[in-house]
Amino acid sequence: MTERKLSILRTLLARVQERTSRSRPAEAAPSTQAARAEPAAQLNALTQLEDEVTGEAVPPSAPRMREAAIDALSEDNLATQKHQVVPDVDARTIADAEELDEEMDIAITVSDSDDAEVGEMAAESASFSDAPPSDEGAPGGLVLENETPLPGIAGEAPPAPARDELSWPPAAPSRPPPPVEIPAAAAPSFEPSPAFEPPRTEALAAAPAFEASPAGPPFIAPSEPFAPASERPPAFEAPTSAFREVVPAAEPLPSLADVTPEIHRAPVLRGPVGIFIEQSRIFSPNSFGELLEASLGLGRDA
Amino acid sequence: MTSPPFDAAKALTFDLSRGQILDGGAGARVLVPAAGLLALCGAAPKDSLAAFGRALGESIGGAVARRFERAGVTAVTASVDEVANYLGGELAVAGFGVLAIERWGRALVLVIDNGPDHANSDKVLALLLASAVSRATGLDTECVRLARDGQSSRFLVTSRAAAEQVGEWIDAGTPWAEALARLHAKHNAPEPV
Repeated sequence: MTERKLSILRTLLARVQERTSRSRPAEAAPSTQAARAEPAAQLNALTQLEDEVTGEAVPPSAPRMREAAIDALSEDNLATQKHQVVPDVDARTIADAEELDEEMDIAITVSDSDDAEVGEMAAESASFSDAPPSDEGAPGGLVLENETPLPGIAGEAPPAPARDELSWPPAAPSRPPPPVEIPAAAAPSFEPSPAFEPPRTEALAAAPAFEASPAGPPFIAPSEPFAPASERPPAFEAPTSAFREVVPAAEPLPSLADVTPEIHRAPVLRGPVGIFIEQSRIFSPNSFGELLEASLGLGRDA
Repeated sequence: MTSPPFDAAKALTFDLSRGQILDGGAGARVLVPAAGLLALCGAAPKDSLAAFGRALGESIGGAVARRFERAGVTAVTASVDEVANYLGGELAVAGFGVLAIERWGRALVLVIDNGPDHANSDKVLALLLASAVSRATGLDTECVRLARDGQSSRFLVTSRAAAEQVGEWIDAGTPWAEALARLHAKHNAPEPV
């Protein structure tokens, strides 16, 4: 694995050296020196690491190579923000590469190590991978993308902490920040606009009451200032209670004092019935013959 | 012992091959229009009407007596409900309405609902009921109409003397309940010393 990485680094350095020897002017503008200071430190660390691994002496062209790499990193720093803003990075990178005939685009992915040493190398390599080539046409674009797998190491994921170790400025967010929920009690003075509509949840909460009777009064949103959440239920309960008053209530049941028995009896029977009841209490026949004898006895006395 | 409920099966037998209607054992019957029969009763002399009515009652009372005999009891020893069951059943089969038995103190009152709707029907019913009860129980009874209310007629079953007295009170306009009260008052009055 180490040999593979060394070969990658050698290829990288060779390509950078070749490119700088062909296209980069010898002098750099003084205004760019300050901007190169920070990427230069990283590139120095990279080259130093390569020297330690290989044990070879630094070639004489190393300073120029480093300057070219610094330029590439500076341009990559600017392109990183664009990369995060524009999702289709690969397509733009390819298009820019076609426009720059003399420039060199290199895509190398380094993410196949388990040991800590190689992991650190991969972390630093990942710092290059987040910098796509410059689309401003600046010379010396150096691109290391971990999204582009190399033959033999495809399918292996890059180390996760690579982005956290970056020293570049924070990238612009690719999506708007999530809405901040304002506590209900913190907005008591909110004045509803003419186009204000009550929250849908409140409308749904009051919906069953209106479905019970389509002929009920229409729902009217409260016209008073929008109250906090803790005070909203009373404002929406008012139309509901008014609607319930419209529904005709069942006729109340009569109390016990209002219920009087009805007795259907002929007036002529009210007096004699008392007599017959007394006679019935005294006389209680056990058979039809006894009753017939008693009835026949009435006639004998008459 | 409780007698079986009234069974109308074989109460009348229509022998169409012989052109006869047979009852349970009393002989042949004739199915005639009620209006024509009652009109004849209204035009007939009183004795003839009495004879006709008693003949009807004898037939019905005889059928009731036979049913009680088959049940092992008599109409005298039977309960009021059992008599109402058998006597009412026979009256209904003959087409003289629905019978109900009332007791007003010591007075036995028979009520006929949905009987023949004719001016002379109550005269026939009074003779019929008295004859039926007499035939079923073996006691000499008389019936007098107390009142008629629509389709309902009320008859008092009593002795001949009492029936005549109540008839006089009713004809004088005395309410039937008061007439019964007077009848009971005389019964409960202390005997003169």
